[in-house]
This record gives sequence, structure tokens and C-alpha cells, in this order.
Amino acid sequence: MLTDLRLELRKAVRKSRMYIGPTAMSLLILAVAVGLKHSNPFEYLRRRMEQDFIVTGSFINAAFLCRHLLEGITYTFLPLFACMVCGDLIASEAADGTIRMLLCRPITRAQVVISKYVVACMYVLALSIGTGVLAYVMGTAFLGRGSLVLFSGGIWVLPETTAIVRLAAAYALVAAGMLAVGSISFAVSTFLSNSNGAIGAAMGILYGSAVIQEIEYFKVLKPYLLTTHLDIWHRLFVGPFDGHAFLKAILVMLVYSAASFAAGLIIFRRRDVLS
Amino acid sequence: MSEVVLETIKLAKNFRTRRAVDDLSLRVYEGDVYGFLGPNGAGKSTTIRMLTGLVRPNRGTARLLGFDVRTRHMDAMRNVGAIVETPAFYKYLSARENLSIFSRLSGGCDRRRIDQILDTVGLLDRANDKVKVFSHGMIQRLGIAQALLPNPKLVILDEPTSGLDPQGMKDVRELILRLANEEKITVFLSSHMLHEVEQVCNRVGVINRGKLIAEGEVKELLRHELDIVEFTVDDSTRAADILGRLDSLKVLSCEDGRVAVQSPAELISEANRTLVMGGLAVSAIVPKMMNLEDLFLKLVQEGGRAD
Amino acid sequence: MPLVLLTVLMLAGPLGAGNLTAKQVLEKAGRNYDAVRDYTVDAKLTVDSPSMHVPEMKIKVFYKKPNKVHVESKDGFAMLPRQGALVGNPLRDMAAGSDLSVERSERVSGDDCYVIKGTFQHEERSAQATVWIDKRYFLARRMSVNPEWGPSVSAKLWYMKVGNKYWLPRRTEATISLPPMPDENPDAERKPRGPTIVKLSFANYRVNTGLNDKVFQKQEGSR
Repeated sequence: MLTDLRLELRKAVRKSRMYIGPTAMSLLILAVAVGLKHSNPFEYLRRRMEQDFIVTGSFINAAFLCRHLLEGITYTFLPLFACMVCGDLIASEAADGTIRMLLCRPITRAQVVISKYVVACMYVLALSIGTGVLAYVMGTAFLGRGSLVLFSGGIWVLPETTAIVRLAAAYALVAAGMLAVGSISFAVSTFLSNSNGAIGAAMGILYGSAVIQEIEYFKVLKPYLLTTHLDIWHRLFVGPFDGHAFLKAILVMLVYSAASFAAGLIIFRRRDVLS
Repeated sequence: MSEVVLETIKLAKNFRTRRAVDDLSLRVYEGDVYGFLGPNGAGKSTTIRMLTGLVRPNRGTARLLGFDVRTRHMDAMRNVGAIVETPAFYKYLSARENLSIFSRLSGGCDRRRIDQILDTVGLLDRANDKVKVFSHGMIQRLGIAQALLPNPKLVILDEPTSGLDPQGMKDVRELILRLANEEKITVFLSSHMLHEVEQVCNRVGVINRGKLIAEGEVKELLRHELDIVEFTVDDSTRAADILGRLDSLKVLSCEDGRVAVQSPAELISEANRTLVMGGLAVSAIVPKMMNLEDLFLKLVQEGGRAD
Repeated sequence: MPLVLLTVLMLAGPLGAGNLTAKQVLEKAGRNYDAVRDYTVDAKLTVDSPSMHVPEMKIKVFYKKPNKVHVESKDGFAMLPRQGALVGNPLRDMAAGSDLSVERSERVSGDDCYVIKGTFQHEERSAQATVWIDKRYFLARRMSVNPEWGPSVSAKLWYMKVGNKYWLPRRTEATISLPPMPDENPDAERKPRGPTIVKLSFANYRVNTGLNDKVFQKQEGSR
């Protein structure tokens, strides 16, 4: 199995598709850091504060960048890039015909699926957490370090050390969410020969779920929808710590990941390879 | 009796309402170069996919080297090399890297062997080029190379000469013969190039509409068809009419002063006498050698079965 | 005769101290604060508020007469409610107020204090204030201010003698009703929920070192 995994990694790092996500995120982070350094979209908040407070220091720093980056990427860039890779791992080989070549070797279909899924997981986790690390490093270079200040139902100030721990946990939670999204895309790819279909299906499920969760008629489904829990990381920064909610969110994400993987494995083991 | 290295027992596959393979039972023995023939859509590729585990049969069993392909896939494929339809490779990797990856999945082999195989198929000087720049013929040869990686006892080749130029085809034919004769590798190949199959294969199986309609040694199959004689006469129409009235003789064709008939050998002289007594001038009596293509076309048109 | 003398002496004592007017008390108190022209001090700031969730902050406070204040944070960011700052002379505006009167005497932390009430002006707006000034050192020990321009504040102050000369706050505790906090979401519902308690503890005073005005130009933090 280790051989299979090494081979899958070897193939993966040679595919240009793997680098689209990291490149895009790097450019995005750079743009946001430069933008925050040279303009201050939150100036109105500071002026409002200075009416009643003596304010010292800046809250536009690396921690601030990391926190606000999450708002913009959790439902857009990260799921898209996760699906682009996870939905391509099997479907592209089916489209190219190399899946035939693989399966004509003394290797079980389960080995193929497992090794590819592990690569998918590694990519998603690396992308999500790597984004956070890169944002903090770039934020430090451009904006400096300091406490994390949030304006949400009051003012929340987290000292730098606490902020770093919470941000790490937030990105880890987002990574778990993206793993679930990528797993859905992976599962769809096991019966398609077109990675675009897998990407589109997974993104469609994601956005459809986001719409459904807001409709009163489907409120009974809400606790079980993935999108309900994708932004659980907000609660790491404001409000009292609700361990039960976090555990539930993590459990839902893990269930989605495991169920998607299991479905993909079953489908792939049973399907006829006709491409 | 040689060992059976490839066997199908009542193999069947349906795709929705279409029966692609129907009750297929064939055997390939150690040392055979077995040609698997059939028109387009006959079920050849589906059979090969079932033999390699790509497609699950609805009924029946496929065995390679004694192992059931479905239940013991890893054991079945361990000493088998296969090309199923057009070989496919990772275009962003070089030829050598592709072979390295596939070899590791088959237990691994060192760089020297990879280079040796690349040399065998004439691609050693292109080993470091990315596959995306390869021509169809080069990809075909690389496909044969990957089939040879695991030092196989059995090689399954689906249209191995497809896309090759005449020299390439000749090289592949010679390679197949070398594999069979020198390295004692059993070869199971499907092809449309019947004259090639006739040159390299000792046994063939003909499939049509999913059913095996003929199987056996090439010479034996053709011997059945050796009772054809062509008369060269001055009036082929009258000759065909006269010969058509004879029992145990069948007129096959009549054109341009030549009449071909199928008849047991002992009746040819009587047929000749009948023509001469009928006032016809017989200038030549030539036994016709049917080739595999003729046999194939005949079988497919008849849809019959010959053993 | 002795009885008359005793009566006069008895009356002279309390009358001698208790006869100070509110203005006089405030002027005497003001002299304590006016002796300090500038100072730098390290402070620990805690804010206990239902709408502010901030950890203890370590800050450095710079003050220069009459009303220049500058704050720097050792943690990179800090915010100090203006009304809770209580830096410099807390009686500056009140001394020029109107309707000043000594209402009564009251004990605060074991010390007798004058309780002075009045109205004072700040930038053309008025505020009602009550201040407790101890009779021994003439230091403001408690204050309660209801200004037109902002939230009401009630504060307690504890003092220490710095360099054996200057009375400066060792600890302050101010209770303020803050207005709704700013929110990233402009449509968010905002309402004050309960009082905010601002506690400052001071250490390492450096007094009358001649602070340059440039220190205060980094950021204007005037009251």
C-alpha cells in the first residue's frame, strides 16, 4: 500500500493542476496583505472606537488577515480547489485510459481508491492549513503581529498567543470541512470519466445545501447538512466556548468524509471499466 | 498435454438488453500464440476486459494461470502483461517514468530491465521524452513494453499492431514469435490483421455476436476448407450449370472463364469428365488454398461453427 | 471662663476645618495634582464589560499638564475607555464649576471626606458631578459624573506617594455605561448591556521628567 501511495504522490506532484490552488491562494493572500497595508477598509471602525476609547496600536495585523481571509475563502476558493483535485484523481485516469493500465496489474481496486484518497486528503489538508500559515507569514511581513481584534456583538481582543492557537484550530476545522467537500467530489469521480462532472456535482451539492439550510421547510435537515457546520470556526473567536457544538460539527464532517469515501470505494469496486 | 494458461468457462456479459458475450468457453495452452478474431462489435474487447478484470461477467468464469480473475485478481495478474485497447500513459511523464510506475505496481524491476525492454521495442533513445509528444505508433510500442515488464508468462494483446507502419508491424510480429519461441511466453492477441494472425498464431478462436463460432489450430481449420477447386473453361456459365447438377459438388463462384467448386477430391475427375463430355474445353484445374481471411469471412457470413 | 474657652476651642476646631467652602476644598486638592507637570507610568488595565471581551492589557501612560495623554501598549493593541482613564487632575474642570457646595461628610475607605456637588462645563456642555475629597490629604477618593456628552461615570481612586512628594493614583476603578460597540456588520443590532468596569493599577511612576510634546503627537488622546 505504501508503494501505491508513493506512486500516487509521484504522479500527483507532476500534475500542474495540483499547483493551481496554492498559486491562487498565494496571490490572493499577497493582494489582501498589500491592500490592507496601503488602505484600511476598517478605518470606520477605528474612528468609531476613538469616540469613546483611547486606542493604541493597530488591529490590522497578521492575525487579523488570517481571520478575515477565512471569511472569504471558506465557501469559495478552498472548496473549488479541493474539488478540482479530488474530483480529478480517478476521473482523469478514466478519461485518459490509464485506469485500465493500472487495473491490469496485480493491484486491487481498493488499493487504487485508498491510495488516491490518501493523496486527496493530504492535498486538502496541506492547502487549507498551508493557506493559514502563508497568510500569517505574509501578514507578519506586511502588517506586523499583534492581538486579534474582532467586532462582533461587542469587541473581542485575543492576545497574540491565544489568537494563534485559535486561528490554528480554525484552519484545522476548515480543513476538516474541505476534506468533506473534497470527499464528495472524490466519490462522484469514481463513477464518472470526466473530472468536470465531479467538480460540478460536488460544488452543486455544497451550494444547494447552503440554500436549503436557510429554508424553514427543511429545518429538520439543517443539523445534518455539511454547510451548517462549515463556519463553526466563527465560534472559536467570539462567544462562550461550546464544546458540544464543535464536537458535533467535527463529527458531521467526518461522517460526510467517511461516507463519501465508502461510497466511492463500493462504486469503484463494482463498476465496469469501459473507458 | 500442455497446461491451460487462459480459460473462459461459459463467460457471459450483458449490457442492458444487449448480449455482448454469450456463453464463451475457450482455452489457451502454454506456448500458444492464440489469435482471437471477430468483426467489430463481436465481443472481443469485452472478453479481453473480462479476462483482465476490468469488466465483471454476468455469468461464467475467466481464469488466468489457474486463478479466477474475479476472486483472485492479484494472483491472476501477477505474471500477466496486458494491453487493452489503445495503451494509455501519463502524458506528463516520460516513457521511462511511466514504465517505472507500472513496474512498481507489478513488483518492481530495475532500470536496466526497463531500458532493455525499451530497447526491445525501439524506444530507448526516446526514453526521457514525455509521452505527450509520442506518435500513435510509439505509444503502441510503449504499450507492448509495459506488458513485458513483469516477466510475464502470459501476454494479452488487444490489436498490438494498430497504428504501426509496415516495418513496425513486422517488428511486432517478430517480437511475438520471439516471445513465444524463445522466451516461452504464451500470447493471446486480438487483431483485424488476419494475414498477420495467420503468420504468427498457431491457434485461433473466432467470435461473432458474442459467441465462439470456431476454434482450433489454424492448419486444421483451413484443411477443412481445402476441398475447393477452380476450373478454367471457355464458357463458365455453361460449366457452372453442368456442375451444379452434380451431387456432392457445390458451385462457389462463376466469373471470367473460371468456375470454383467445393467438392471432395475423388469427385474432381468426374466433374472434369462431365465438362468435357458436355462440349466444354477445360484448360486448367487448380486447387484453391483458402486463407484465414477467407475462412473468417465465410464463418462470419455463415454464422456457423467449425471445430 | 474656662467653660467659655473650652466652648470656643471646641467650636474653633470643627469650624476651622469644616468651614472650608467647596471651592476652597477643590483648590487645596488641586494643588496636589498641579504639583505634577508630567509623568510616565506603567499600568495594568482590565476591562470587565458584557460588550468588551479583552484580556488584561499592559500599557504605558504618558501625561502632561494640562490635559495631554498618550497611551502605548506593550501587547501591540490596547483600548482604554476615555471616561475610565482618570489620568492627570480629575478635578480640573470641576474647580471652575458652578453651584458648588459641600453637601456632607462621609467616610470612604476609613477616611473622612468632604462630599462636594456641583455643575461644571466642558467644551460648552455641562455635567453634574459629585466628588469625595478626603479631609486629611485633600485627594479625590471617589467621583460620580453625569455629563451631557457621554456616559455617566463613577470612580474610586487609591493613592501612593511617589518620591515622597507627589500623590498619584495607585489604583483606579471606574464604572461606566458605555454606548453600543461598533460592529463589522452595520446592520447588527447594538445595545448596551450592563455597566463596564475599568480597573487600572499603576507602577513605576517617573514624574516631572520634562516630557516632549512630540510624544503626544503620535496619537491625540485628550480627555
